This record gives sequence, C-alpha cells and structure tokens, in this order.
Amino acid sequence: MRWPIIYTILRKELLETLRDKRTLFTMFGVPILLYPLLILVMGQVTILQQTKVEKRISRVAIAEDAAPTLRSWLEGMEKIELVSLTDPNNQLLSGQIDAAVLGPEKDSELLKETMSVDIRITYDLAEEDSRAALERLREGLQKERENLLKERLDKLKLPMEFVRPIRIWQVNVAPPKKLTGSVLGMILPMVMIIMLGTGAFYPAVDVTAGEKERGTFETLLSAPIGKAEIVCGKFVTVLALCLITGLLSLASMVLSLLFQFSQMAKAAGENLNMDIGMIQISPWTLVILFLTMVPLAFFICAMMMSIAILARDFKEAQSFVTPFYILILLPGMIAVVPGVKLTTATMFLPIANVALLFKDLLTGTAGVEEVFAVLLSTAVYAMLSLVIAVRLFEVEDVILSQERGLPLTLRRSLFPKGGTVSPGMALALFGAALLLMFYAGAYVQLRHLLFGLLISQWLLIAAPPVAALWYTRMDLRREMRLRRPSLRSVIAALLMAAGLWVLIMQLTWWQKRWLPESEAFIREMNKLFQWGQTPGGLALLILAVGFSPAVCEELLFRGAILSGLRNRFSPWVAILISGLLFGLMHQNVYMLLHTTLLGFALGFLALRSRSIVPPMIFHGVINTTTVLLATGNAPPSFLTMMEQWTEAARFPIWLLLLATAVCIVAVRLLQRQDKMETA
Amino acid sequence: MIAAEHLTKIFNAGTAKQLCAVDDASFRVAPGEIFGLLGPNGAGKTTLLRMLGAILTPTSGVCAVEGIRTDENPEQARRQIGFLSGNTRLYKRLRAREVLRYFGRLYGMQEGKIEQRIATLAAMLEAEAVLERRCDALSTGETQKVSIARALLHEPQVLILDEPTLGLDIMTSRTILDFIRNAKERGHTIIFSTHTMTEAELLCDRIGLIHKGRILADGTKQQIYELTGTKNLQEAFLAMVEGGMRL
Ligand SMILES: Nc1ncnc2c1ncn2[C@@H]1O[C@H](COP(=O)(O)OP(=O)(O)OP(=O)(O)O)[C@@H](O)[C@H]1O
Ligand SMILES: [Mg+2]
Repeated sequence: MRWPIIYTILRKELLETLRDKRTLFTMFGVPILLYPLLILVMGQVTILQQTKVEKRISRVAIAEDAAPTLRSWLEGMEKIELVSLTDPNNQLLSGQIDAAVLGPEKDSELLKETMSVDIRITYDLAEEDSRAALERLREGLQKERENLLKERLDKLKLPMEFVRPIRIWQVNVAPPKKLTGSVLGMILPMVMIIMLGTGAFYPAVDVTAGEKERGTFETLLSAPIGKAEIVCGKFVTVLALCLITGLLSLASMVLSLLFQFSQMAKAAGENLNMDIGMIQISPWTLVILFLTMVPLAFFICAMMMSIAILARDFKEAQSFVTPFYILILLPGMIAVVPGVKLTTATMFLPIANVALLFKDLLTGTAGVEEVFAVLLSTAVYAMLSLVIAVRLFEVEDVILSQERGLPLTLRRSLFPKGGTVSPGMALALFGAALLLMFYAGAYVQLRHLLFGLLISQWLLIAAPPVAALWYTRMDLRREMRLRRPSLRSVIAALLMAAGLWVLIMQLTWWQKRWLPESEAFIREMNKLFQWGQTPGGLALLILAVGFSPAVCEELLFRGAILSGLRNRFSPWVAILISGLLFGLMHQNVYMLLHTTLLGFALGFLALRSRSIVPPMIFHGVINTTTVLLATGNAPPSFLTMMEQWTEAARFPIWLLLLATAVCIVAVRLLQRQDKMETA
Repeated sequence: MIAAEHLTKIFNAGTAKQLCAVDDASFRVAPGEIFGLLGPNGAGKTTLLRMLGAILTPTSGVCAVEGIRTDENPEQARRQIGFLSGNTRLYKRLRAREVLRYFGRLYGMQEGKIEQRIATLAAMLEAEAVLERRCDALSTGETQKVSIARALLHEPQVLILDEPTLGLDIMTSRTILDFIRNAKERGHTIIFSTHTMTEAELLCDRIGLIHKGRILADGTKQQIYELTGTKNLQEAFLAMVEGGMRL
C-alpha cells in the first residue's frame, strides 16, 4: 500500500465525480436546498393551519328555548357565534355548525342549588374546527362552573380550598436536551441513513460499474499498482463524498429544524407552552453524532461498492444497489419506533444500532458502554464489507468480464494446496468469531455459564479457523504455528506471565479510578467465580476459563489471525493489529485496555518463539492465576497480602520493579533465541 | 523480451460455464521483433495478451517480461510494458492531459518528467491540439493517439498491442502501423494482435495463428506458407483450421 498512489487515485476520482452534475446535485443540492425548503414549507403550512383555526369564529348551535343564563354565558365567550339548533347531528355533519350545546330549558333548573346539571356538547372529532369549538366551549363553561362553585361556597362561608383537599403539581425535570432530543432523535437517524445512502450511491456505482462500462479498467489494471491500492483509492473517494453529504445534511437538517421550532413556538405563543430555550443541541453532541456516522458510512460505502462491482454497467448496478439502499432504511426505522432502546440484543444489529445510539446521544442518555459496543460492531461490519470489496476486485475475471455475477467456486479441490492466510481472511475470521460469540456465545452462556463458556471457546472460537484453513487446503501446521517450542522460550513465557500479571493488575487498579466498573460487570464476575467454591466446580472453572481460552483463543489470534496479518504487514504492525483485535474480542470496555496489552505480549511471544505453545502457556498461566486468586484458592498468607494490596489498589514499589525486571529478562531470553519470524 | 510457457486460462472454472480461453500457449518474442497474433473473434487473443500484461492471472503456466515473472512480481513486470488495446477508452470527464498525468503518477514518475514526456509524445503523434480537450469530445483516432501516448509515457521496453487499429480509418491506421514499425527499429519488443490478415502480413516478423485458444502455428510468413502449401495467410489460416494441423 503506497499512500501517494492511493492519493493519486483519490484525487482523480474526486475530480471526475465533481465534474458529474448528477453527483454534485445529490451531494450539495439535496441537503442544502431541499431539506430546509421541505421543512420550512411543512412548518409554514402547520403554522398557517393553526392560525387559521385560531382566528376562525366557531359556530355553535343552541336551542331557541334554552335557559337564558346558559345563552348569556355562551354569548360572553370569545370567538363564538350562536346559531339556532335544529338537528345537531345533521347540522354538524353537513358542516353548518362546529358544535352544539344542549342544556336545561329553565334558569331555575340550570342554577338549582346543591344539584348537578348536565350540559352536553356535541362535536365532530374528525374536524379540526369542531375540536377547536369544543375546546373553547369547555374552557368557557369551566370558568362558569368555577364561578358558581365560588358563589355556593361563599354562602356557606367556606373557602375555596374546602373542595380541594389536595393540590397536585406536576414538575417536569426532563432537561431541555432530552425534550428536543427525542423529537430530533426520531427524525435525524432516518434522515442520516437516507443521506449517507444517497451520498454513497452514485459515487459507489460510478467508480465501479461506471468504470467497467466506460471500459477503462483494463488500462488501470495495466498500471503498476496493486488491487488493494485501487480499492482504497476508490473507497476513500466514495467515503469522502458520502460523509460530506452526510455532514451537510446533518447541519442543514438541524439548522432548519431549530429555525422551524423557534418559528412554531413564536407563532403558538403561550398556547403551546413551548419554551424556546429547550431547543438546544450542544456542538459537542454534534461532534459525537458525526463520529458515529463515520463507521456507518464506511459500512454503507463498502457494501455498495461490493454490490456495484458485480454489475455489468451503470444501469444494472443501480438496480443492484437500490434494494440494498431500501434494505438499510428498515433497521433505521427502528429508531422511530417508540420504546425501542439500545439493549444487548439491538446493540449489534447493523445500522439499527447506530440509529438507536443517535437517538440516545440526542437525548443525552447514551453511556460509554453503548457507544463502545456500537462503534466496535459497526467497525467490524465495515471492515468485513471492505474485505469483501477487496476480494471482489482481486478476482480480475469479475472486473474485466462482460458478464455479471461471481465466477467463484467454493469447491475445495480448486483451492491451491498449502496456501497462506490472507489479511482479509484474518479479518473475516475475527469478524466471524466476534459475531458468533456475541449471538451464539451469549445464548449458550445464558443457558449455563460454564458449559456455555466451554462451548463458546471450542466451537465458536477454535473450530471456525481450523475448519476454514482445512477447507481452503492451507498448511495448518505452518499457519497455526504448531511447532515444538524451545525450552528457552517456554521459560521466557513463564517469566513474562509472572511479571506481566503483576503489572497488568496494577494497571487495572489505576484504570478503575477513571473508569469505575459497572455494577452489572462486577455481578457478572462474581457469579462466574462462585463456581470455585467446590472442588469440582473449581476444576470446571479452570478448564473453562484457564485452559480452554489458552488453547482456543491462541489458535485463532496467534495462529490464523497473526499469520494472515504477518503475510502483509511487518512484524510490529501485525503484533499491534492482532493485539488490538484480541482486546476488542472481549467486547467489554473494562477489559479492553489490559487484554489489548496482553495481546501485544502474546503476539510478540508467538513471533519470537515461532511457536504457538509459549503463548498458550502464557495465556493459561495468567488466566488460571486470576481464577485461583479470585476464588481464594491460594496460600492464606499470600491471600491476606493480596487483600491489603487490593485495598490500597497498589503493589509495593519493590514488587513492581521486580515484575518489570522479570519481564525484561524474559524479553532478553527471547531476543537471544533467534531472529523474529519472517515467514 | 517476452517469454510464455504453457500459458493456460480457464474462465469460470468448475462451473457449467467453464471455458478454456487460452490453451497451453508457449512462445518467445525477442527485442526488435514484431510478433503478430492472428485469429478470429473469440480466439483468445485478448485473454493471452492480458496474461502477458500481468492484468489477468493465468490458470497455469508462467510468463516473463524482460526476465521478470508476472506471477512473482506483477507490478514490476507491468512497468516494463506499454499495454494498448483497440477498444481502450479514456476517462470521459477528464482532459487528455489530465489522463496522461494521472497515469504518469501511477507509474511513479516525477512531475517534471511527466510534462516533458507528454510534450515529446504529443509532438511525435501530432496531437498537441488534443491535450487540453475533454476526452468525451475526442474522435476515435484522437482517442487512440492519446491512448498510445499513455502507453508509451513511462518509456516501456515491451509493447503489447491488442488490435490497435480497431475502428480506425486507413490514414490513421497507417500512422499507427508506421509508429509500430518505428518502435521495432528502436529495439522494442512488440506483440500485437489483429484479425486482419493484410496487417499481419505487412508488419510482422513472426506470426502466431490462434484459434479456439490454441496456437496452431508459429513462424515467419514463409514458414507458414511452406507448411500449408498456400500463398497467403488467409488460405493458410483456413487450411490450418480445417485440416487441424499443427506446426
Ligand atoms: N472475463 C471473462 N470471463 C469469462 N469469459 C471470458 C472473459 N473474457 C473473455 N472470455 C471468453 O474467452 C474467449 C476468448 O476471448 P478473447 O477476448 O480473448 O478473444 P479475442 O481473440 O480477443 O476475440 P476478439 O477478436 O473478439 O477480440 C471468448 O469466448 C470470451 O467470451
Ligand atoms: Mg480481443
């Protein structure tokens, strides 16, 4: 991957796209003109409608022989015009009147002391004018009722409070952000998804099927550049255009909505009880909103490009991508459904999760854990779709063919024997494991925690990469590093485990200061370690948490994934990426930092020792030690010491220094071994 | 220098649509030599040339350009090659000069060098007036001139030309054929495909007759005439195909 090449492609694609009027219009025209216009027109129409209803005089029918006082009450009300009553239903339905009032015929009946009299208002719920009339009549009559009540009480010399033993006050504590947020939160996610989709649509089709149709792919492929560079250059173009469209529409939507709200509030005045001050969105929220948009845009762009490249020409690509475009709107609509929240189940639903997070961000109720989970899963989906796009570009037959479709077969015999894991495959394996763990793993662990953990490890983490490598006829032994380790590297692994365990423990104590663990997380952990109270339970616990992850997770991360990364990147980059993926795999903010660091160490160990066994030993020792200590299965004197340290959240300096020294010795031992693996 | 050994390309392998477009092709082209691939539509010429240009990966067999294997180091191999096809089109919304600059940068050339090469090639092809025009406004002949400039921009030693005179009038074809002859004299290695017999007869040092993916004959005109007992390529070709002969 050479950045100057990618930059050259990006610049040319942008230039080309910006000379296309259609793309320009969807990018700038729609967000800048159409949205404000649409919202303004809609808003003005509502305001007009409202004022029209407000200003209109209600025609109210009343019987000629109605009680004179009742008639005078009605005459005294504002914006009411009296007509004579014949047949209320007919008059209403034919639109001659807006409401009819039926009451007693004599004043004596109307004003009889100590009695209730019935006054009936007939109206038409389907008519706005009729509802307005009802409202006016009810308000007017309520006022008269109050007056009568006061008269009666005065006669008895009782205060008004006599009939109101309890007064109820409603106090609203929803911060302004939450109120506006919930309104915006319904509309914005949908608009965002529509706009990101629109922004990505033409560029994605243009740089793939468009180039195919124009017959320029052959020339491009004859240049000394890699497929990945072509895809990246094109992808960055699409992403940039998509984000610009998204950002523009976010800005224009928010601005015009805010303007509209203030207009409406002004027009409605006191009646609507709407506080202009509540319409506020902090710039900070906007920044986070934009940040959540990025992975979503990433995903949409990569998917659209992958789909479009399969088509023969522009037109066909449009008809291929359109269903996808409509498909992504469905999960987006979830955010509009009231009551749907970000839960563990919805957190990983592609697109829906971003829409929900968007809503939560706008109402100010999103937590760190949610943001993390949504960003992580969206990034994984995005990565997978980008891997697919690169894979498709690598099949030259697809790009150069005039036929549609995928000339790929998955027959095992067609895979070259002894192939190596590609970085794309490594990422795909990671994504598969993450999703499997999230859905299937969570399910089995819910049924039975420990057996669930065992099943997750062996079936969901270890089995897929082994099966995939076997099916594609790769050299399992080489790619998984199934080699006998040297004695020196085993000793180094043990030393490193001891030293790092102390350092990592110290790190988690520090981390707790600025990121206190949630109740749920602590409860979850305690539930797990409760198994250690019986010897049988302890054995099972060590098998599930100490031994199995050491074997299974290592096969995946220090086996398949590290090999795949190593086949494209330098050793250090491979260690960095695989470590980060290992951290992300734990799907937990509190564990992210230390598992990532452990991932670095494990990767280093694997590449230095050229074998999977030392990392397995390291991993097993760290996990088992943690289990033994957490379940109190250690010498009592050590446990009390450990308790004191935990209390203080600090190890003594000498222990930290010792741990560091042990780590250095371990690294030295490994360096002496031989050169870093260069396969 | 181009060397192909047992090149084979199977499209849609393992499916019902499986098609062997090039079948076990082996040959060599030396510097200063023009090798003509002659065959009917669908014979596999384009597929063969794309494999030589490191654009398509062969299903089996290897080829090397200037001693660089296309499977081992495709990008380095492509640097040695100027690839031009008769139906090459240009980026419509770019100006001719922008297209040339774009490819110059993809080949990793210095900006100054790019401008210099553009000027030289435009003068050589008498296409200075075309440079500032948008590619969608160019005629077929003008497009082809820009494409030639693009293919030669990085001064490749090997030229792979796939029906370079496709759709051109006699005058423009002549310019291009002259230009190919010129390149031969300057010592370039040239392979080009065509399905017009006269073109092949006029230009080539050696001719490969290709049909249904197989190279039926490979030799000088004289050799082919002698072998088939005919006096022109057209007859020779028909004799080959019908007689199922192989050299
Ligand atoms: N990407 C591809 N996928 C599937 N089949 C292909 C692909 N490219 C070419 N073919 C098929 O391979 C065969 C040889 O095609 P090729 O383009 O090499 O022939 P050609 O000799 O160049 O023909 P023409 O003179 O028409 O250019 C044809 O039958 C064609 O349909
Ligand atoms: Mg062809």
